Order: sequence, then C-alpha cells, then structure tokens
Amino acid sequence: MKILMVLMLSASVVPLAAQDPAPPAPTVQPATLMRPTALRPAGGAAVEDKADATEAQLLLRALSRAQRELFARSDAARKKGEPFNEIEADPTPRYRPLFRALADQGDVDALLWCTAHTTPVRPERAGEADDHQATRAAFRKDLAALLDKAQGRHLAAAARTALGHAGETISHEEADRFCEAAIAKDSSSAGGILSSMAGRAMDEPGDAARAKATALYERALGVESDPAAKQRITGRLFALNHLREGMKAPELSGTDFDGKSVKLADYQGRVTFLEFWGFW
Amino acid sequence: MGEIPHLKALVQRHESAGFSVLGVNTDSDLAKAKARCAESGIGWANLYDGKTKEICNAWGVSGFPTAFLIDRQGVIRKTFLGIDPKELDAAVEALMNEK
Repeated sequence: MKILMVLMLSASVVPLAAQDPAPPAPTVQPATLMRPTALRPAGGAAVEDKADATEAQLLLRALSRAQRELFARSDAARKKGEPFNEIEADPTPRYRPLFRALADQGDVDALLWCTAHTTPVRPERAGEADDHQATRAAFRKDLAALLDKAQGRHLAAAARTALGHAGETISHEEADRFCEAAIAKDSSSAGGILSSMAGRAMDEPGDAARAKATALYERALGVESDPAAKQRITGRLFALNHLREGMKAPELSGTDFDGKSVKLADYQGRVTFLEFWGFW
Repeated sequence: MGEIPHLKALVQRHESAGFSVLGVNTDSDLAKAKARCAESGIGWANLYDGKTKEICNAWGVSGFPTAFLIDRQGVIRKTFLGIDPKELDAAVEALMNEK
C-alpha cells in the first residue's frame, strides 16, 4: 500500500478517483502475474523518453516500475529462502479502476490495457454469473471503441487481443469480424492482422482449419510489403503445406560448423530425429 | 538444450540399428556453439543456421526446440514443438520396430 502511494505521488498523476468516482472494477483477476515484457505500451515506444506522455502512458510507466520493484523483492526473498506471494503483492488490481476510467474517456493505450488484462471467460450459456456477463460486455464495448479510435500498430494489437479471446469471451466469428473491420479501416496493418488470424486458425485441429490458415496467409502475402514479414509468412505456409505428419520430408541441406556440406538426403534409410535447437 | 542428455541416450541405444539425430543449430556465435557441442559430447552432425536463420525461416520454425521424426523412407511421422521425453522414446521405439 505504502509503496503504491509513493509511486502515485512521484508520477504526478492526479488519481482520478479523487475527481470522479471510478466505475466498479471488474471482479475477475488475472490468474498469473506477467513479467515486465508484457507491460510495454502498445506503440512499443520508450515511454521513458517522451516529454509529453499522456496520463495513460504515465500510469503504464508507474505500474511498470511498481512491478519491476515487486519482482526485485520477490527475487531477493527467494535468494534468502523466504516465502513471497507475487500474486498477493501485485499492484495491478489498484491500477485497474484508473485504466478503466481513462479507457472510458477513449484513451487508446488505456483501452488496449483493459482488453489485454481481461481474463478470458468461457462461452456464454444460460444462468451465467453476473460478473462474466459484465466482463464480456465491457470487452465488447472496448473493442468497439478501439475499432473507432485506434490505428496502425494499436489496431493490430487490438486485433491480436480479440483473437486471443476467440472462442471464449467472444466467438470466433466476432473475433474474425473485428479483424476484417480493422483491415478495412487501416490497410497498413492488414498483413500483420491476417497473419495473426492465420496463426489463431492453426490453434484448431483439422483440415478446415488448415485451409482457413492457408487462405489467410496467402491474403497476407498479397498485402504485405515488408520483406522480412513476407519471408516469415512464406515459411509458415511451407510448414503448413509440406511439413505435416505423413508427408515426405522436403530436401534440406546446408553446412556444418566447419563449413562441410550436410544433407538430410544422406540420412535416407535411417530413422532420423531432425531438431531445430540452440544453447541460448 | 535440456533435451541433449536424452538425445544422447537415444543415440547410444538405437544408433547401431539405424537411428540418427541431425541438428539445425541456431546459436549466433558459431565458434562458441561448436565448442559447446564438443563439451556436451554431441556426436551428431549439425547444420549451422545461427547467422542467417535461412533454414528456420524457410521451414517456418519460430519456437524452439522444433523437431521432426522421420522414418527410413524419409516420411515425417511425428512433429514436435517442445520435446516430451516419454513421447519421443515411444515414437522412436515404434519406428525402430517397423520393417
């Protein structure tokens, strides 16, 4: 508690709760704590350097600092063999109402934070708990706001979040509709969004899923201009269509550490375990 | 890389009956990777792909380890994203017992 108050003061953010009563925070809590890499603002820019950071960006910075400190304390406790409950000490719940208030004002970073920090809820059915309905409604509302206000990388991030909830908080169809609407709004993100859709399609088993993913990757190739992204998509298409169980392994050749030629074909007649790996 | 001891055991057990491991190494420093392979007692060949990641990109590999178990006729029989040792043992066993 004490740590949070010190940080709030130093971040020079006037807690919105002091001005307007914040809407009730959702009761769902994240089940696991995400380490700092998940906390970067959607734009990916170094918020630290921006002189004209928005309120949401200042909040993100403050929360990021609070969590880094928490992990430092946790690591220190572990070294001493002392118990430390990261979930209990997580400052995120206290920030939720603040992000919620900024999201309700239409701030894109806050909207992205709220949707990214929604715990997926299982599919709708009759008699479902009130807070699941509320979570679902809030999520849908935030997605609609993001479709209206976000563009570029923010819109692509929103699409990825929508896909992450496909089949749970929202249906697959809703997630796909969101993605298609995002692509129609901002063609610059089309390649990335289509790749994300394809990746999500591949989470489901079966031939129909594979056909869907292939079609999406091919659309992505058609609109993608970045050569590195095109290469990645081409590779995934290759894997989808040529690296499946029951298929003849494609040719593979290269050089070893000493520059000597090595070919997969040399292993014909042997049971071979081909492994992509590293010490890193 | 935690799977290395397990792979060494598999090679020791099945090599004479026609089993091989072929690695595609993705470490950025070739010399270090070569040295560590020697230290770890890795006796099998490794294609080096750490500089350009050409092979990884061409095969759409983005998670590691990714692996393919290929039978004597060159057919992919099992794909792995992450390696479950028990699954791998059973799969290798089954293929070694095939004609």
